[in-house]
Amino acid sequence: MQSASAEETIQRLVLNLSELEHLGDAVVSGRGNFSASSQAYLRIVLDTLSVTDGAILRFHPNANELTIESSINVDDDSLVISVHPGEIAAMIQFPVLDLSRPPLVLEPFFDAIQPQLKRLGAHLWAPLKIGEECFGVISLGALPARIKMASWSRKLVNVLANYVSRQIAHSRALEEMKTAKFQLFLLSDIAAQMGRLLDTAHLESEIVHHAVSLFDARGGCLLLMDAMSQRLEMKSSFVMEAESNPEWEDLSISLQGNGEVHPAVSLLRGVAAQGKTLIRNREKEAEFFGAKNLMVVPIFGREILGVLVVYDKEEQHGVTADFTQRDGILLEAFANQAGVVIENARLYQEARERRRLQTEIEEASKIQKNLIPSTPPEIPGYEVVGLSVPHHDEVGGDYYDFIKEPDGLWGFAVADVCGKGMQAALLMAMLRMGLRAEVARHNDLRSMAAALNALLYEGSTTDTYATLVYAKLDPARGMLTSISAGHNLAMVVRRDGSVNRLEKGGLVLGMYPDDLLRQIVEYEQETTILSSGDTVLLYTDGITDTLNLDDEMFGEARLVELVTERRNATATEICTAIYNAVQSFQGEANPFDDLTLMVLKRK
Amino acid sequence: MKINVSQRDDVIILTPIGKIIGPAVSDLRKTIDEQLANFTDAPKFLINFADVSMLDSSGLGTLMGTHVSVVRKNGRIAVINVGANIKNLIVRSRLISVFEHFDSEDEAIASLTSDG
Repeated sequence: MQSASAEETIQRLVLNLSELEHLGDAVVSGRGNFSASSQAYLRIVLDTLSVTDGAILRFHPNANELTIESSINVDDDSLVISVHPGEIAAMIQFPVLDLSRPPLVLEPFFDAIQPQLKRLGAHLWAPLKIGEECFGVISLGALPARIKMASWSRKLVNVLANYVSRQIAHSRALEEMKTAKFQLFLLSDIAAQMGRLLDTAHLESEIVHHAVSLFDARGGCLLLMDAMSQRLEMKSSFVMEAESNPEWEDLSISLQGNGEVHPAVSLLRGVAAQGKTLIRNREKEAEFFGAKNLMVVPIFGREILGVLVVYDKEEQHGVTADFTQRDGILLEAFANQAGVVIENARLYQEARERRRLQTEIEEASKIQKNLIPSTPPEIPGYEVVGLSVPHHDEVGGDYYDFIKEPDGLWGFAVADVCGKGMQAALLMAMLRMGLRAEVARHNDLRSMAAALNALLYEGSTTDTYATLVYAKLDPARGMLTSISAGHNLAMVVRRDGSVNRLEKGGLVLGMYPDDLLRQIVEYEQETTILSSGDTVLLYTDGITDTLNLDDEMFGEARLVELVTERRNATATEICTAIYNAVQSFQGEANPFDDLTLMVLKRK
Repeated sequence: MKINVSQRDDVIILTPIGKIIGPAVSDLRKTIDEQLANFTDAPKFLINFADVSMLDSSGLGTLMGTHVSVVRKNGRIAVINVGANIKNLIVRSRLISVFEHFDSEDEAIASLTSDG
């Protein structure tokens, strides 16, 4: 009796195994999936064992629930069984569980779920597992008495359960493979799309959207590093189903800060500082984003550019899934692409800015060239020469001028405008116009300087200013009156080799309002007499501050020595000698600044 | 350039680190303006140049601009640890008499916190 029934069962098994094989092939080849096939699996299992009712329950590790995947002759398909991870761990130690005599360790669990077990009509449970991982259980109704009594009956249930487990594992691996393939496709597509974006704001929001869609996540955000302030600034954030952006959209995190901050803030800071991906599942860092699970990756260009956050990956059942190591690797790959496109967009914008500046510089250069006199004046009994070499090809901040004053007097000006480009060119134009106007209006250089200061203060932007040295010559009497507004001092090298610095003056022009200037210090002037053979030098710091490759400054001492040695040469020769000396001193080093020099010599 | 900001008594101590040149200048200006905004009257600033390797004319402009803002609010500004090159520039611009210069932080704080 027993043997006949065994034979019958084996026949059923052989038949059914070939059908199982067929189903499994369908799943693995991608034509079906486990959810769709589980009904067929269950039917095969029940048929092989001659059992009339049963169900396959699927285990959801995040929710800690068992739900019905498929069932035969069970009325309530919506049934849910809560189960602790510890209970699952205990369950998978047993190939088959006889619910009428459960192991001691699981007695409380099965007692607690008696009502559900009754509705399932469950007599036997066979855990579905691979290694330590549980996929669910096959729940079986009563086995026919003849099989139940057989010594191999439990073994058979176990073999079938193992087979179904393997199919589940296959189908899941396949789903993951398909997801990965899809994600890789998305990634390459995203890279191509983003690569075309050069507007940074648009690019930032695209990066967040793509990252979120890559994981079917609920939200994400992008923080980029501001190189100047060393802060991580929130650039773009996105939350599914939220109408307005979250409250942390203005988040700005100092990398240096060490005060009391939310764990998420120190987490973001840590990722930026260490450049390592972090995944937090169900930990309090995620709460900051109103999330359960959180993944943060660094974005690198040539150096760290920022961090990308994605949170709450969705599973098919609407349950939030844990982020896995594989998710981390995928987001890193995405972040690498994002880093490249961010850097490209920046380079593009820098290039555009350079082009804009180039145009401005060309315009400013034209203005500047018109401001500097082309030929020095002829003054009987004197020789005067001026030279100005702009720094590289940029618009310089230096300016010099010869101004014919009433009564046969001559004015000599050397000035240095702070700043470069258009702003400097405009200030210089204003200085030139103002100087010529004020010189005509004031005999006294002190009131001239004060008036010029007020004019430039009104007309210039904050923190821009000019320094000026102005010397007025009465050629007939050899009288030279000078003033320095924050400028390098003019010097007189006498025929006998002695040197006088013309020290009187006051503060720079255009920085201090008139009332404040008078409160601090009034301008002063001084007068010296030039005799035959005396040389006057007016210059900018481009001469004295020129550095050589050893970072040594040319300095005033070298200048004095050089002029003293050549004091019997002509003004033009002295001017050329100074320029050559500075050039050879500088050698291969970068030019420091514009270089301007005026030499006046009494014959 | 990085700028450390600290406070001792009622004196704001700014310690810029690096070169105060070109574009970096606007950073210093921003930091100072942020600090200045906290004062309605008599701000006291101490700028420590110990870690400043270079200061150009733009940087000097920022210092003078700060000086104007501080004086406008009846405040005071002092400098310490000014290296030779920077001092040279300050002397040349005739600002040596404008900025109160001290040899140590203690001296500067003592002076700034006195009724001076």
